[in-house]
Amino acid sequence: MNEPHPPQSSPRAAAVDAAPRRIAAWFVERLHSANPPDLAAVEPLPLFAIEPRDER
Amino acid sequence: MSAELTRLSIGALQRAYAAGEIRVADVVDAYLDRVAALDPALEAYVTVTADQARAQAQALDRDGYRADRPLYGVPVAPKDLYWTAGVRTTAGSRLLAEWVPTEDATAVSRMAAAGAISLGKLNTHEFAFGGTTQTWERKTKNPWDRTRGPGGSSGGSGAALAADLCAGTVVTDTGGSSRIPAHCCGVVGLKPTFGRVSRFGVIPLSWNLDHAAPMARTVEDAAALLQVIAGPDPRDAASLAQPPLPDLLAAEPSARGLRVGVPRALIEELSSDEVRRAFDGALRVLAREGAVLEEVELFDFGLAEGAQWVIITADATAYHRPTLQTRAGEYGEDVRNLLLAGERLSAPDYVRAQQIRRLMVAHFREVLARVDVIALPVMSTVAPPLVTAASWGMDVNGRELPMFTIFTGFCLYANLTGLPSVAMPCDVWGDGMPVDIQLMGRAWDEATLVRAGRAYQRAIDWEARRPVFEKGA
Repeated sequence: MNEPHPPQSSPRAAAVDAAPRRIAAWFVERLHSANPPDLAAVEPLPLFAIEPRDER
Repeated sequence: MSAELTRLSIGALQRAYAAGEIRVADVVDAYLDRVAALDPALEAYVTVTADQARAQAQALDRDGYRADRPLYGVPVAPKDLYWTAGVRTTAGSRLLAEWVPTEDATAVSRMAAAGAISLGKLNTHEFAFGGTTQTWERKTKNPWDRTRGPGGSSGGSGAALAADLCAGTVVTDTGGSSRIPAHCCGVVGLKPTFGRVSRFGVIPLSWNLDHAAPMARTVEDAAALLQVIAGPDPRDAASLAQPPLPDLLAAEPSARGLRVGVPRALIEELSSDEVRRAFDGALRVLAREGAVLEEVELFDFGLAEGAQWVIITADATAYHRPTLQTRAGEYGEDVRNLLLAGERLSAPDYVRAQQIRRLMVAHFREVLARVDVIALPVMSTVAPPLVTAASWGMDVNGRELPMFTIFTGFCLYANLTGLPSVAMPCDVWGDGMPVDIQLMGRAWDEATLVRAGRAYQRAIDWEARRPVFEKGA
């Protein structure tokens, strides 16, 4: 699948977009910097759920 | 006498009021005089409510001391992220420059009901999304060195406490925003367990990770504030299922027998030499007080850091999206960039971050079955110069670390897991800047942190070492 991308933008628009793109790329790179085993079996933590509430 | 009044702890104020030795009006005047003298240079306050504070002080003096009001006559100032009825609440943003709430945040109303007097509102990094506290309106300076920032996002609170411009404050902590300014300014941030303090009336940054928290000059004062603001609130669902908070100041301060986990590898990886030396010195003090040190290993740092920033940024972008689409130009550039970064994150990455959080909660439960607390530095470095703090990264012992890591690397574990953590000053290093240590504990066990923190502060006599900042210093 082709990656969606915005229409041709001006150099100024590209410059404005550079910082958010760099920041997001760094966040995602960190998020994928290791691969915990069996992550697919882990349910995501829901909002407002730390112990002991998630033990109910 | 007025300078001495602004140095009194919350406990000392209560004893002096009870004995009829001082009047609330004199204490409030002493603080307001100091704010008038020092704050033009520090810019810790966004708004000062002097007339209101004086009127409240007179009313308290007229009614007399009441032991059932544990913050009777204590001058406080909430972070400008908390709603305050009739007093503008800016969140450090042009977008809310003139916004005046019609009711108080729960923590604000609980402090007032306990007899506290609000002197005004303290500066925050715009929408609490950053660590420098330099807004379009107020550029907060660090009282220890005005070329450096106070940290953030609760930088106004850190600066005001260090300079004795208030006796206590309520702030937020989403990725370290109470502990980071505590470290930069040599004061205390006590982030309680997630859900311990209601966030009703607090402008959100991340619904997942936001904590309401007290900051103060000592662990004991922070505990006195937490005692008042904690407890269930029907207007914050996250606060409802908490166990009761015990009397935090009932137990004798002690670290005897306390098992302290030390994640040595992470500390070596992320700390500057001066922070590591101060931290090691603090561990020696804890050991002298009877604590038992044990090396522990923490959850993969890269994954934790990725999860932290993906969740904060996605939550913040969701909250700000309507405004971002119509008034993007009114955000500061740094916050706008972060919010636009949030538009680039995917839903599967957000879910992955929440999966990683679940693994982390399980990991910390195991670690905290073996030790009572985990000791960590608060930041990689002392408060950086303002010109450096706004850049992407900085050299730490010959290695370039991103500012995201330098500011929040040691703090984010407590936000992702919701576990309580206290940051308290331990030393002065390098160019004469303070360094804090943090202790992270088990869920709902703020009492152990307070007990050990009070013992530590007593052992190093920080109150005697704390400088008095004067105008022009």
